[in-house]
Amino acid sequence: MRRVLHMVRKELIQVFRDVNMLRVIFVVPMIQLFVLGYAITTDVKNLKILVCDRDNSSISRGLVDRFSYTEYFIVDREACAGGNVEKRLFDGDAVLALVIPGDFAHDMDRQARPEIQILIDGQNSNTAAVALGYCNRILLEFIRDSLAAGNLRFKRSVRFIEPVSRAWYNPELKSVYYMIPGIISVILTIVTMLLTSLAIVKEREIGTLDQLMVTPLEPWQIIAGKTIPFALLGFLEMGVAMTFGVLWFKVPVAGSLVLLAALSAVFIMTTLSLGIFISTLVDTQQQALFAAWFILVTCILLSGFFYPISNMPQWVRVITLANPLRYFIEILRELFLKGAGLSVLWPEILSLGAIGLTVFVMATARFRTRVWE
Amino acid sequence: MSIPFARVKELEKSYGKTVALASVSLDVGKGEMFGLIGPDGAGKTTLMRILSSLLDPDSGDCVVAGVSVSEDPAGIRRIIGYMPQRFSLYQDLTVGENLRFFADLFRVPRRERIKRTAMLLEFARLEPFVKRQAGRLSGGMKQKLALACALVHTPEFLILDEPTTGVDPVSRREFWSILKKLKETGVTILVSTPYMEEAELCDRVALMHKGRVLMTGVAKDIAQGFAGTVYSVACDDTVGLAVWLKGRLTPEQVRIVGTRVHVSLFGDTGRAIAGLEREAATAGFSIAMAEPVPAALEDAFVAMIAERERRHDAA
Repeated sequence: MRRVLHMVRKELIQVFRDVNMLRVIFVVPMIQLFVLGYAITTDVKNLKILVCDRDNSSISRGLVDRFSYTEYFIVDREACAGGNVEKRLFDGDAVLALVIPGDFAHDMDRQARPEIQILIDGQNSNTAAVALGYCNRILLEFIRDSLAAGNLRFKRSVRFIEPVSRAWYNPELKSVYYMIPGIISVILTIVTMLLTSLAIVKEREIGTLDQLMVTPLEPWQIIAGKTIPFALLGFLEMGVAMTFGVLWFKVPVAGSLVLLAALSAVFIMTTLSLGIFISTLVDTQQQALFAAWFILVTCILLSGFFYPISNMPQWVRVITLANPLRYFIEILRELFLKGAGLSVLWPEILSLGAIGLTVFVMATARFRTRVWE
Repeated sequence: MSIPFARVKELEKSYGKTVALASVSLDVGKGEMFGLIGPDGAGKTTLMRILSSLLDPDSGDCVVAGVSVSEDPAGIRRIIGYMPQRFSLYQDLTVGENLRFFADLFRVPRRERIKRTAMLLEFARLEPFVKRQAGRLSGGMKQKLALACALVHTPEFLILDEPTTGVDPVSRREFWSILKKLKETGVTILVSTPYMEEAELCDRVALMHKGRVLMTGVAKDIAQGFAGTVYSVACDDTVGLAVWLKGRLTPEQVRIVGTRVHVSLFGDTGRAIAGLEREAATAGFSIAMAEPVPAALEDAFVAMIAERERRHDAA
């Protein structure tokens, strides 16, 4: 056990002596967290909407006002005067246009069918769908209020069944709450998996692994000595990232911190094992970097970080079952936002644990044979 | 020699179809400085790695101080100190940290570690550089540090794989004087080297070629056992003459020593050298009188290899 401590001590001296390494470990992830926290958002805000109000009545102006009162849209009322709406949409000047025909107020009053036109640039389907949702909500409220005020009448009396939806656990549907746990798990994966594989391959590259092999160190002591430092760094990193997420982005942490730490340990065991596994597959640090990168990107894309897993085809969904990141992101989100406990999370925990154990056994077995080649 | 301290028994090792060691046997006596000589690819490094428990042989075994490598590799590692050919310490750790790390791995007790480290630093004259990172040392200093690290747990048997290759001549001489002092403390040393003059500093040497030991013995005896005569020739165009001679004879028979060309000849050497002198003069070389000189280890080695190749070709 003492020997493992000496290995850990040596490893930490090396990490903290390397200024570039420190930057990679601490500064880069914080920048990532900060930038991505703002950048990766599915919220639609401050969309420019071109308004072409040909009616220009008090009713139509009232409708346009409803758009401008939200934080979702920035209304450009001069669109009709300013030129062709279609061309401006094509040029990407705005993604949304609202056209109100000249007899809008008249039609409403006559109990005819008042019509308006909404044009959306569907290039970015996500933004388009979200923006359309906002538009529908505003229009629905407009109709309801008009009915109440008697501005709009139906020929027959109609009873509305009006759905009132409320999002639980994240009432404002802030995507940053959803993203921060994802970003934290990605950062944790990078530190533990990538750095471990690099550190082991480096020893082989410069020949120090041979030097270690002629000491009384056992292979498991070498593995422990190379992974424990990065597990510690991983925890440290996670603590810093969480503090940042809570204080700056105001992400709520509803669940138990002890449970969070315990589950992170399970996840870190998995990523460290992946790091060891990578180190047994490659000869140089460059190759290790490439392999780790490949695994990382695949894991992120198939984790539900950006795209919901339920949207993926069946066979891809089966593949994601083997993705440790998938479970950890899920666990973090549940734990952060819902405050879920063991009773809810146990299926994810079991899966993550099983994957972790499998990778660990495979990696250490390969490491032993590889070392003695 | 009584019971050998280290015994290598019929070691065989192949990498795929390449035979690295073909039934190699060696005995090294206690306190002996034993040299392994041979060109690249002779099998020196493979032999040393097997002896250090880093590599499993296909067959055969090594026993050091009664401990078998195949049966108790961990036991072997406590007895030996191994210094690989390539510098392989932590470049980003200081001289002191490297020494301390390896001492810790061998569980050298604190008090002894401090004493031993101080002694080794003085021995290798590295005290002024304790706080310097290993990567910033000169080539010679790196080798001395590697030696110190291999010695930090007071091994009985030191295995050094070409410790002076790529090191400047002054540092090489210094390194060998350190080895000599080490030997006086009773450490048994197995050292490989491509430099023949270093081989002559060893008590005994084994000449290795293509995975076999051609001969074992005292360097001087091997040199004296040389069957032919070595002639030393002076010429105004040393290089030109050497090239011309290599064309006439075999390349192994000719080598440049300082400003002279040494030619190894066999059989009726007097007549052969006279004939060569005439031909050289006709070819336009102005050469001084060729005189016989005592054969060096390298001459004997080269002759032996040439002889083997000839027999091999014949067979």
